[in-house]
Amino acid sequence: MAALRAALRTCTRLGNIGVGEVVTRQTAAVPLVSLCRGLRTPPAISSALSHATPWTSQQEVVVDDTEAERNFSHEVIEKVDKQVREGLAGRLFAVVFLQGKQHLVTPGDLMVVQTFFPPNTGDSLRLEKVMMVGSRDFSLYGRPLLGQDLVRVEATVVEKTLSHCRIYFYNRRRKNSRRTKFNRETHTILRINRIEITHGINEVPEVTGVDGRTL
Amino acid sequence: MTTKTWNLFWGSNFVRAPLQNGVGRYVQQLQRITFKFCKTHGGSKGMREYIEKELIGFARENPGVVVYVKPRRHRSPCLKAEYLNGGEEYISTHVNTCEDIVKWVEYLRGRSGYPVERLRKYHHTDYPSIQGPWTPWIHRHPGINIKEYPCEELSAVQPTEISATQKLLELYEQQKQQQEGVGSTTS
Repeated sequence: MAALRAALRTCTRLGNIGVGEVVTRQTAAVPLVSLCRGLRTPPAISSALSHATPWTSQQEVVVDDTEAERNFSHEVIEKVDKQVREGLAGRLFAVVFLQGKQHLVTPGDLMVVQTFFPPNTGDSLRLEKVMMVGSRDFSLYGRPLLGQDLVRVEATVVEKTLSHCRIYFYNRRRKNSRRTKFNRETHTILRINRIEITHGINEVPEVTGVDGRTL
Repeated sequence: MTTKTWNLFWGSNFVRAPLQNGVGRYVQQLQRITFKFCKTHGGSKGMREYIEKELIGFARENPGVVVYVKPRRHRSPCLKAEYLNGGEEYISTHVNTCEDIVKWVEYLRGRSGYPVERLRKYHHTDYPSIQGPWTPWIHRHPGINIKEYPCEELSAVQPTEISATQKLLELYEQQKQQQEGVGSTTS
């Protein structure tokens, strides 16, 4: 397959050279306009050339590279694990799902939860729905969530307040009807304290989902 | 009154917390709360009830908050809160019930002392991008840097689907192969 692709590539390259030759020949014979036309048209010619590859056979030799792929992925995972273990990963960021919204956070951030949210000021929380964690060199994506025990995102409630007064004004012209409504929604401001990866990313703990539960 | 009118009179701001609050630990921002009321007027009824029933509990639960009670004759009741960053907030509690006042006190306790303003962003970060901002050249082959432009190869249309001509050619080849196969079996 790879050989075929290489052949295709060389074909296109040859096609381009061919086009160049055509263009030079045209310049020798005809003035500038046709040169421009020649410059604009080549894609069609080159594609025609690439499409005109001879029909070899319907069968295709598939190389079994599952082992190689597995080795490669293990190598990558080992690199990430090593970075995390040695603390070379640098600043981590996470995408956290909270009250129907996704927040991209990194330690030290302030974020506002704009709905009803029971925790009080001074409470420290652990945000468990983590959709993604990343650093400078790697990104881990959950499907849709990462393992509860894999990533630890901690936050503190810094402020509980109400938003500014929102005014909803409805007016129906010439119908003698208007409504004005005032609304202040609850805002909870969270400070993200830390994000950390607790164990190797390819390790599967024996029991999952029991962290923080009394059995 | 629209948002535009609001913006003319009141400001807008970004999310912030005083003195890096919450980085190490949370520090209570409310420092002093004053309950002002009248001992006789009906408008202060809820406030008097609050002082009788709830105030002691509030003071016990919040040892860091100074509580003042200030009776004054024939004036309507109010709450005055003062914060660590010098901010103040005044809330009129005229003819409010005891339950309402409980809620307002809780509101004042949770605030940071900055004035109520429209928030421009609901998120604040000092590190806007960790993997670097995206550019059109990210994950592209560096060979395109030394290409000469205009470049026929790069500006060509990339066919995503098989073209009709190609399809026909393939069908033709298929037919031809089938016929060859049939011919070989018969002979």
